[in-house]
Amino acid sequence: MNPDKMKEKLIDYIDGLLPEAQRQEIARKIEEEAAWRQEYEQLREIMYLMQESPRPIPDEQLKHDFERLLQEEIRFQQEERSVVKTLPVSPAYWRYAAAVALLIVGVLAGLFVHKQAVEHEKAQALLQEREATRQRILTSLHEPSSASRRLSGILASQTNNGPDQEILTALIRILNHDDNTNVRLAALQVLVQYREEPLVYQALLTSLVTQDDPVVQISLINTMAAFKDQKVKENLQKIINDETVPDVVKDEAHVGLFQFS
Amino acid sequence: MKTVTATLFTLLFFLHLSWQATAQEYKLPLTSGTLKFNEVSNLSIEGYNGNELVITYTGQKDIPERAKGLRPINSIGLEDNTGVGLSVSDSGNVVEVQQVVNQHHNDGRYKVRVPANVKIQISNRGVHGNDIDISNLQNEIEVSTLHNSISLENISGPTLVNSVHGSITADFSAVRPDNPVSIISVHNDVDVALPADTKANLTLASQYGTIYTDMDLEYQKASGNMRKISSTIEGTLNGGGTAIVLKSNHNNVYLRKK
Amino acid sequence: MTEESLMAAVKQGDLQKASLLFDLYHRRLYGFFTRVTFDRELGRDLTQNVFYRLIRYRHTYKEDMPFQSWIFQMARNVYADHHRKNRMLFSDFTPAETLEEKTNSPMEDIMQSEKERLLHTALSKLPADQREILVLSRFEQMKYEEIARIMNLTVANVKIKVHRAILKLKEIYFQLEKC
Repeated sequence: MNPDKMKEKLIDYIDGLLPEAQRQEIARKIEEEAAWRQEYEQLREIMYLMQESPRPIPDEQLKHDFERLLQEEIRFQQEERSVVKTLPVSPAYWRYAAAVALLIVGVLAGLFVHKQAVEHEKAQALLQEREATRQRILTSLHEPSSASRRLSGILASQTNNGPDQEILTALIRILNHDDNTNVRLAALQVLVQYREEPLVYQALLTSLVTQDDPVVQISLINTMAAFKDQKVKENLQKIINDETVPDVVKDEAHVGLFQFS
Repeated sequence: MKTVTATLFTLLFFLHLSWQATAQEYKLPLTSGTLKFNEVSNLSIEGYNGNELVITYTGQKDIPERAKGLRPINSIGLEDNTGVGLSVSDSGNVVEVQQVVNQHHNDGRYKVRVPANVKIQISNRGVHGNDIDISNLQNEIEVSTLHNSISLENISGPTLVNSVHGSITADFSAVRPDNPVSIISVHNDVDVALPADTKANLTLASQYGTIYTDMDLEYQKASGNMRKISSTIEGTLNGGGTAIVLKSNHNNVYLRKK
Repeated sequence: MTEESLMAAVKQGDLQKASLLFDLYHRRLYGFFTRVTFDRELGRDLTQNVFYRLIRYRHTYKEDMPFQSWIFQMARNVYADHHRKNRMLFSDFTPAETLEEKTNSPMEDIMQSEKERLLHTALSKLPADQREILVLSRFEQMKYEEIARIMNLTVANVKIKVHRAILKLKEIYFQLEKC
């Protein structure tokens, strides 16, 4: 196989797109030849980085601006219609013709409006359903008596078209203050996916040092050490120097710091 | 006055007798709500079809000769009000059990029988005691330990379990929709068996260990044509359903088919 | 209701439904734009621009076309227009210094790790068309078939382009890592 062809195959191999026979052939090549192994590892790293790269989230302003634009457009559309209605008519027969025409238009418009109303209702229902889901998630996040319901809410928040600021804020509160460790960890799992949000990243950095649940703090260290951020490094140092931090957490911070060297 | 005194004495005498007879066993009517254990080491909990909480203590209980006629109390002012070295407080919907007598010098064990639909919460921050065994329960289970390993058998409710140093083994009789499962150990194995027909959205993760399974996972290919390459595996079982998170930071995760 | 029938309704004058389509797509479009331009502010403007066009040119939507393909075609046009207008200011490559300036302000938060920073620097050194196809294929994780529909190319052609872009990016990335 020529080298260019081989490189192409490596990408398909990483994507899991090769038929079994070819897959084995490539696997063997990687196994046997150091040069291809390096090529494979580099490709895998770059593809993984792209795939895992967090998606930037827009702020509320975007939605706000869009709604304003949309309402303007709707107003504009209505004005256009009313202009049609007030066309001047003078001769008598034109008036009759116009009356008949208006009647027809009226009936048609009535039908149209009715259809529009039904359509509108459907769309409204969809919107309401989505808002209801969002509210359900928010409610469950604040459910004090059931850890499992909070857990469900957190795990649902990542499938529901991505969390908004309000949900993210609730998740941050959970990360730092929930009674249940598993619930905090689930919040962490979701928050990490949205670390590109300045609000979220700042909260993660702070929690790394102030987190009072050792299991959660260890997971924070594990996750954030991989970011290779200087601020994370500084905070790991703080953990190591903190008298009150349990040894099991400090050990983890040492492992984390090691990744920076 | 004499009769009153006599009655009182008789009453005290019988009370004393009955206290002696049940000294190794404690009972409390209980049919629903939450049963909470704080720092109770050496614990086995079993669900059953009944309407009371029964705590039995088996094993050596070394009460020093000098302690005769005294009752144990502990640093936060709790008293043994059960006769088995535990303090039980009932606040309506939540029954809280705390250890008063330090157990780390002997090999005794608390066996707890509880109606199968009662919720269980266990928290152990100490370094003493052996495994915590839990079986035959249908409702929510929350366990958090520092050192104790945890073993769960024949359970089917929402399950939120974590440990820093202990391993966690869980055998589910069923996983119901809306009953999420999250099982996480930092330094030890997580080993979970699920019925073959379980519908679930799985997250399996291990930073420094390996993930093993014999179940047929459908890998998530949300919108692209690529497989995820990372220490976290996301996939579904039988088309997806209940959220299940299994994770070990430093050791292996085993997912078995029943 | 499918995305296609929502857009059909918008086309017929029920503008309010555009709001639903906005909810469904604005995050993805914003992601696309900020990643190809390295500028959040600009990403916001261009996203807004796409939805403006969606409303303005609603009558050009053909019901038998997948909505996703249509809106991403529009997004590409918006990006191309922007690119044309700014040809005087930017060359085909975003010079590293310009990127540096930009990343220090609005995009800094997205590149938390060294590796992510390196990835974005390498990405900025790719020609615009390679960057674009990588964003669609790898960051947005679209199927080759979907990209082929959006770009009006054959699936085989898309695959070749994506592969070339990955190999090129890999080369730049590991060169950067060495220095």
